[in-house]
Amino acid sequence: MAGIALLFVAAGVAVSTLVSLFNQRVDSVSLLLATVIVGFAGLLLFTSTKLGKTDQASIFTAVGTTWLIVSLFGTIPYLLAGTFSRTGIGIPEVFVDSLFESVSGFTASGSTVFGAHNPIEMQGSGILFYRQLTQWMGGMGIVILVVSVLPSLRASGLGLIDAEAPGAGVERIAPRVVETAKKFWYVYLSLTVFIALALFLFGMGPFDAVSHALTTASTGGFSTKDSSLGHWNSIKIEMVVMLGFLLAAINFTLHARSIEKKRFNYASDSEFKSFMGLIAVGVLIITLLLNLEGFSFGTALRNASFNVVTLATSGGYGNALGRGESGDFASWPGSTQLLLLFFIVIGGCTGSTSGGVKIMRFRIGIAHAYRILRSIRRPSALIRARMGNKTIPDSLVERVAGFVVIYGILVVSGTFILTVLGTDLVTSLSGSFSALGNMGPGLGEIGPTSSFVDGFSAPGRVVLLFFMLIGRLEIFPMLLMFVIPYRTSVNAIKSKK
Amino acid sequence: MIFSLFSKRSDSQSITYINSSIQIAVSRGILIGFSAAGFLAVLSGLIDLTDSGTDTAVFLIFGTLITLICSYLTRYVSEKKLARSEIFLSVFSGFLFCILCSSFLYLLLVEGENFADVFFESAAAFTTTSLTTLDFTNSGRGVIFYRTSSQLLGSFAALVTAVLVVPISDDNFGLRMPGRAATQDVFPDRKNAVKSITVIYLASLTLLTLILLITELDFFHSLLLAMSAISTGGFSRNTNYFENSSVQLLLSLGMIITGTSVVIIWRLASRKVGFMLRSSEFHIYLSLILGATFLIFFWADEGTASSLGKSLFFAISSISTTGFHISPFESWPIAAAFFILLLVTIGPMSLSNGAGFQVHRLRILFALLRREMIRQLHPRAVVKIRAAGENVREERVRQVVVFQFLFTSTIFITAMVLTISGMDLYDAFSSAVAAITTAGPIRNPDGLVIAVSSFSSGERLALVPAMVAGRLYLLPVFISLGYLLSESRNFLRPRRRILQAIRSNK
Repeated sequence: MAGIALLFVAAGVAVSTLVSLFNQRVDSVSLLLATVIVGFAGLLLFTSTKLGKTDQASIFTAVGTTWLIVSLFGTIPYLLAGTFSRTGIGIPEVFVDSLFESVSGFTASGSTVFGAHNPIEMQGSGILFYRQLTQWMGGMGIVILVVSVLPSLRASGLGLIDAEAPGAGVERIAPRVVETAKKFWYVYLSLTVFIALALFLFGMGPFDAVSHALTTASTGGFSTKDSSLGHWNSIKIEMVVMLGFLLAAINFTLHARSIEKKRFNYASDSEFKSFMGLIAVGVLIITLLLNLEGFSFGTALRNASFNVVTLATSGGYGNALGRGESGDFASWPGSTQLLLLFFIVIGGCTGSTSGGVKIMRFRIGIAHAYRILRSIRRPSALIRARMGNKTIPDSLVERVAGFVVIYGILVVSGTFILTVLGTDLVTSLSGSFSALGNMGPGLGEIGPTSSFVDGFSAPGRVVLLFFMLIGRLEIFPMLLMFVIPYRTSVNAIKSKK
Repeated sequence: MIFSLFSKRSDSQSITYINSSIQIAVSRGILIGFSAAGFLAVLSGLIDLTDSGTDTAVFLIFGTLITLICSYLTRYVSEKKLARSEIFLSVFSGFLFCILCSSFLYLLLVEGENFADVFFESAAAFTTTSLTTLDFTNSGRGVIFYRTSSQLLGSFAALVTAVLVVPISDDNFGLRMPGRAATQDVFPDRKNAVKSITVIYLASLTLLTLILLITELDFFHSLLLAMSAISTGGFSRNTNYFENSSVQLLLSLGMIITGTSVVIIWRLASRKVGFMLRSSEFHIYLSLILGATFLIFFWADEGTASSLGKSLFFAISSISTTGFHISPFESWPIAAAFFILLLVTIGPMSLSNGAGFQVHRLRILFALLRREMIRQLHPRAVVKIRAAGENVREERVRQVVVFQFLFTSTIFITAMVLTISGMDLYDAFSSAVAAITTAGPIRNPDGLVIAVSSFSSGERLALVPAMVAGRLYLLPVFISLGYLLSESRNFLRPRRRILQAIRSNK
C-alpha cells in the first residue's frame, strides 16, 4: 500500500515540477529529481510487496507505516531544493524542519516552520504548490486514495479506511468499498474546484486561488503568503474560505447523500446542528468580548467569525496583517483565547477533513455524563445515553471514553515534555492540542502570525510532528503500530520458553 | 451531640412544618452547617481565653446562640429517611451554610473587611484550600484557632462524606478498600466508620503536635501546624516555619499520613502491616512522592541535604493537596511549574484527606486505556477493567470517566470566568487547578506564590464553586444541582404541581 501511496506523492511532485516550469523555473531540477526518487521508491515498494493477511493488527501496521513512509519521502523535495537550509543550522535541523513541514502537510495540520527567518514568499512556485498538494492529498486521506484504486483489497479496504478516517468510523455509502472511497474523492474534488473558482472570482490570481482551494478543502491551512489570507485583506475572500472550511468540516457522507438524492438533508443531522450551533455561539461570545475590549463591532464580528470558523474546522489560516494586529488572536484577551482553545480541542464533524476530538464524541461525552448523573439519582431506573432521537450503544460510549482518556494523557505528556524542553506552559499546552487536533496555529508563541521555529526547539518540533501523525490517524493505529511488534516479540519469546 | 441538648419531642410536639424531601434535605443541611460553625466558635472562644480574651465574648455568644437555635429548630424538620440525591443535597447545603455562618463570624471579628473577602476566607478554610485574603497578623489566638480548625472540620466532613454518603456503587468507593483487599470490609458499619475516622484524626493530630514540639515551636503553634497538615488545609500565619529543615521533615511525615487512605491507617493501627505493604495504590502513591522529590531535587540543582528535604516537602505538599506556602528554589524551570500543577491534579490516595483526581481513579483510567487498545485489535473481545488485581465494575468505570469530564469542565469554566475578568491565561488556569484540587497556593511560572488578596473580589468568588465542588468530590455537588434544577422545573410547571399535590393528598 505504501508503494502506491508513494506513486501518488511522486505524481504530486511531478505536477509541482510542471508548475515550476511554467513559472519562475526555480527548483525545477530538484523537483524533477525528487519525482524520480519518490516514484522509483514507490515502484520498488509496490512490486516487492504483496497482499498478506488482513487482520486488525496488520491493518493498523499498514496504515501507520504508509503514513510514516509518505511523510519521510515527502521531505525529499524540500531537502533537494534546500528549502530549509540557512546559515547557522546543521543538517539534522534542516531534516527536522523538512520532516515537520512534510508531516504538517500530509496530516493537513498547517503548522509551519517558515517565518521571518525563512519567508514563504521567497520560495519558488513549484515548492509552494507541492506544499499545498501535500495537504490536499493528506486531507481526504492517502489510504482512501489508495483504496479507491486498489480493488484487490476487497473487504479489508473498509477496515483500512476506518483506521484512517476521522471520527467513530466510516459509513458505507456504496455497496463496494472502492465505490465508497471514489465517492468521497469526487465530493472532495468538486469542493476543491468550487472553492478555486470562487477565490479566483473574488480577486485571487489563478495560482493562489488553486493553491488555497487545495488547502481549504483539506482544512489544512498552508498559504502561499507570509501573512496568510491577511495578505489580501478581503472580506469576500475570507467569506469564501469560511464557507469552504465549513463544507469541508461537515461529514462527507452527508454531502455524498445530498448529491445523490439531489436534496439537502443537512438539518436532519444532529451532529451538523450542534456544530453550527457551537460555532454561532462562539462567534457571538467572542464578538462581544472583543467589542468590550475596544474593537469596533464590525472588526470584532469579522475577526471572531473568521478565527472561530478557521479553528473549529481545524483550518488554520490567519487573517492578521501582522503580529499584534486585530486578527492576531494570540494577542487577544485571555477569555477569547480560552474559547478558541475549546474550539481547537473540539474540532469538526466526524467523517470530514477536520481534526480535533470531534463534535460527535463531545456530544456522546455530555450525554454519558448526563446519563450517569441521572442514574445515580435514580439507581433503579434504566437510563440510556441518547443523542438526538437515537440511543447510543454502550460499546460506542466506551470507545469514546477510551479515546478521550488517551487524548488527555497524550496532551498532558506532550505538554510536560515540551515544558521540559523549555517552552512556556500556554504555548506547550496549545501546541500539544493543536498538533493532536491537526489544527495548525496555537496560542502563546505559536499564534497565526508566528512560526513553530520561534515557539519550539528542534526536539520540541520532533515531539509535535509525532503528535500530528498520531492525531491524524485518530491515535490508535499509530500507537498500536509500535505496540504490536513488541507484543509479537514478547509472545515469541514466551512460546520459545 | 448538639441535638441531644434538647429532649426528644413528645407526641404532642410532633407537628413538623418541613415535610417535602427537598425542604427536609436543605433544612437539615442548614441546621448541621450552622451548628457545626457554632460549635467551632464556642471552642475557639475557650481557646481565646488562653490569650488576651478580647474575642471570647463574641465567639461564645455567637456560637452558643447559633447552636441552641439550630438545636431547637430541629424539632420542626421531619425525620423522614432521605434518598441518596437528597442526602447529597443535604451535605452540599450543609457545607455552604457552614461557610456562610462562618463568614458572619469573621465579619464580627476582623475589622474593616467586606463580605466577599470573609466569605472567600471562610470557603478557603472549610474546603481546605491553602488560600487566604484576610490579614491575621494582629488576630488573637481564638481567631487563628477558628481559621485553622475550620480546615480540620471541613476535611473531616468531606472524608466522612466520601466514606458514608458518596458510595455510589458498592465496590471500591465506600466502606471497602480499593485494591487487593477490596473483598474485606474494613469498617463493619457506618457508626464504626465515623468512630474510627475520628480516632484516626485525633490520634494523628496529637502525635504530630507532640512531635512538632521537638522543634522550637510552642504547643499552640505546633497544634496549628499539625491541624493544617492533617486537614490538608495548608494555612499558616507564619510561613517562616517552613524554611526550618526539621519542621519540613516532620510536616512531610504528617502529610504522607494524611494522603494515605484511612483504611490503610486503620489497618496499620490494628497492627496489620501486611495490608499496607500489599496495597498497590499505596505503592503508586509512594512512588509518585519519590519520583516527584527526585525530579524537583534534580531541577533545584543544589545538591545539598537541605534541598533534598525541601524537595520532599514540596512534593508531598503538592501531591497531598496541602499546599504549604514555601518559597521555590532559585533554579525553577518552566517544567517544574507544570509538574507541580500535575501533582496537585493527581492528588493522594482515595479515601484520604486530600482532594484532586486521586490515584485510584487514575489507575482505572489507565486500565480503561489498556482495554481500548486491546479492543482496537480484537473488537469482539470481552475485556474486564482490572485495577490492583481485581475486576472493577463497569458502573464504577463510567463514574470515573464522568468524574474526569466534570473535573476538566469545572477547570475550563472557572478559568473562563477568571480570564473574562482580565486575568492572563496561565494564572487563570493555575488558579482553577488550585481551586478544584483544594490545594493552593497559586504560583506563577517562576514558582513564586501569587497572593490571592491581589485578585479582585469577583475573581476570588469565582474560585469558590470549584473549591466546594472539589472538596466534595464533584459528583455530590453536580447531583445536588441537577436535583435542585429538576425540582425547580417541576415547581414551575403548574400542571405537574397540581398532580403531585393530588397524589400526596391521596
